[in-house]
Amino acid sequence: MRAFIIEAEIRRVVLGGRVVLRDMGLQVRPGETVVIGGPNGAGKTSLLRAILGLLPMEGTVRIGGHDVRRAHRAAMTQVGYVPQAPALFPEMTVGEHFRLLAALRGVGASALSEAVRAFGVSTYLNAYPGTLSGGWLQRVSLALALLGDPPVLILDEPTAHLDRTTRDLLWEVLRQKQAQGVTILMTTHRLEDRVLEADRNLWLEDGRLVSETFEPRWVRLKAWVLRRPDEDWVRHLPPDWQVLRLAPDGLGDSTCVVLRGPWASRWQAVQTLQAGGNVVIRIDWLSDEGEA
Amino acid sequence: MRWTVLRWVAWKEARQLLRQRWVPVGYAVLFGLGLLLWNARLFPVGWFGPHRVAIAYFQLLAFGLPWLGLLAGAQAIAPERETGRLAYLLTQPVEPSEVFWGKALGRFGILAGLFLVGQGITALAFLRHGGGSVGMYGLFTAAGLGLIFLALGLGVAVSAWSPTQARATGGALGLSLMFLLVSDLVLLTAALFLRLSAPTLFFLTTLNPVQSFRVLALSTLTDRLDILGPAVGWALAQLGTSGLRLLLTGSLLVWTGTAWALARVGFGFGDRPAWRLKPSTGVSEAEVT
Repeated sequence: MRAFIIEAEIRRVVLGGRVVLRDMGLQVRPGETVVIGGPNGAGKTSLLRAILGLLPMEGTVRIGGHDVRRAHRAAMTQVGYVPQAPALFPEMTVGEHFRLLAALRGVGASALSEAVRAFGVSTYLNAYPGTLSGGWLQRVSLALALLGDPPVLILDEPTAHLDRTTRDLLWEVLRQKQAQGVTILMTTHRLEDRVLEADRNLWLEDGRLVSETFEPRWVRLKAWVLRRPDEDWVRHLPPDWQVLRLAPDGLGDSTCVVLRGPWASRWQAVQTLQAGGNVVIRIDWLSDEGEA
Repeated sequence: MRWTVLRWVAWKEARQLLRQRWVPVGYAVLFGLGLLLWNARLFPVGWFGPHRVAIAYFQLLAFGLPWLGLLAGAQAIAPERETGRLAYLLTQPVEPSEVFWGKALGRFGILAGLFLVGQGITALAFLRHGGGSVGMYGLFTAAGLGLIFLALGLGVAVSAWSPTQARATGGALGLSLMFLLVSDLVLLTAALFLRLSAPTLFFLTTLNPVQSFRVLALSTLTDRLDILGPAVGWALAQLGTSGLRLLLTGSLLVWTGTAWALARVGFGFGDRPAWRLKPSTGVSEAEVT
C-alpha cells in the first residue's frame, strides 16, 4: 500500500499572467481528511484543479501513484470531484447525468440505483438542472461524485451554495465516508466548516500554504445581536479590531454586526461583544475577505 | 482510446445539440427551401430546366451546410470550457482525446443524420423532375457529408482556440461570411480590376473550401462554360474531368485534415486554449499535452 494517495509538488501555476500557486508540497495519506482554508482568491480552487490535472503547471501531481496529466484516466478512476458551482449540462436531465457518469466510471445498474436512492434524488431524475435549486444541484453533484465509491473525494467549497439542512446532510455523508476510510480533500472559506473533523487543517494565502493549522491571520466575525442602544462596548474591543458594519438586519429587532481583527484575539472580541450587554443570537466566522 | 467513452461522450453531445433545437430548425429551413426550389414550377420558363434547378439546389446546400457545421462546431468546446463543464467532464476517468473525438463524433452524427434525412426527402423531388441520375445524387450527398465534416472541423478549431463562447460564435460567423460572401466578392473585384488570368483565378478559388465544393459539384453536373466560368473551363481543359475532381477532392481533404489537426491542438488537454498555455506558464508543449 502506498504511503500517500495524493502527492503534489507544485512549483508554479500561472493563470492570466498571475502566479496563483507557488512552491507547494502536499501529501495526503489514504483515509486522511484534509481541509484547506483561505480567503477568496487565495488559490484554493486552483490548487484542486491543479491536483486534478486540469491546469498546466510546473510540478507533478500523482493520485494513487498515477501522474494526473500523463496517466489522467488512471488517476481519475481514484477520484470523485464536487466542484464549487455545480457543472451539470443544461440540456441533460439528472437521470441522464447519472447514466453518463455511471457509464464512464463503469458503474453497474444496481450501484447506480443505490446512489440515486441514497441521496433522495429519484424524484428529480427527469428534471433538467436549470429547474433545480442550488442545494439540490449540489446534492446531485455529490451523488455523482460518489458513484463507484472512489477512494478519494475532492470537494471545492461544497457548502458555498447550501442551506443549513443540506449542509448537515453533507457533513453526515462525509462523516460516513470518513468512517469507511475514504480520503477527503476539501477547501472552504467558511471557518465554521471545521465541523468536519479533519486530520489536518491547512491555510492557504496568496497561492502558498502559509500554515499547518486552520488559522488565518485575520478573521471576520459576523454576529446577529439583540443590541443595547449604547455602543460603549466598541471602545473596549481588543487592539486591531474594527467594526465594519453595524446595522439592523431588516428581519426584526436584531442587528447585524461585522467585526474584523486578528485571529489570535477572536474570543476576546466575542467576550467584549457579550460584555456590552448585547444578546448574541448567532455568530458566523468568515475569512478576511468574506461577505460583510 | 476506448469505444465506450467515445460512444457515451458522443451520445451526450448529440443529445445536447438536438435539444438546443437550432440545428434541426436550420436543416428544416434549408431543405424546405430546397423543396420549394424543386416545386416552384420554374421548368417551363425557357432555359430554366431541371438541370439548372439541380445546380441551384446544390448552391443552396453549399451555402447552408457550412453555416450549420461551423456554428455547431463553435459550440463544441468554448461554452463548456467557459462554464467549467468541460473540466468537470475531464475529472471522470477519461482521456482528453476521448472527450475531443467523442464530441466530434456526436456532433457529426447529428449533422450528418439530419442531412441524410433531408437529402432523402429532396431526392424524391430530384428524381421526379429528372435533375440527374441516382449515382450523381449519391455523389453529391457524399460530398455534402464531406463539406459538413470540414465545416464542423473548422468550427471546432475556432471553438478550441477561443477563450469564450461569444468569441467562438463570432469567429465561426466571421469565417462563414468570409468563405460564403467575402471571398466571392474579393475574387470578383480582383478579377475585374487586376485582370487575373484564368489559372490564377482557379488557384485562388481552390483556396476556399466552399468554392472547391461548389466547383466539384457543378463540374459533376455540367460541362457548360456559361455555368462553370472561364477559370474552371481552363482547369477542365488542362486537367480533364477526373484530374479536376482529384485536385478539388485533394484540396478539400487537405482543408479537412488541417482543420481537425488545428482543433485537436487547440483543445490540448482540454483545460484552456493552447495559445494561453505557453506565455503564462513557460511549460513545454510535451508537458501540456
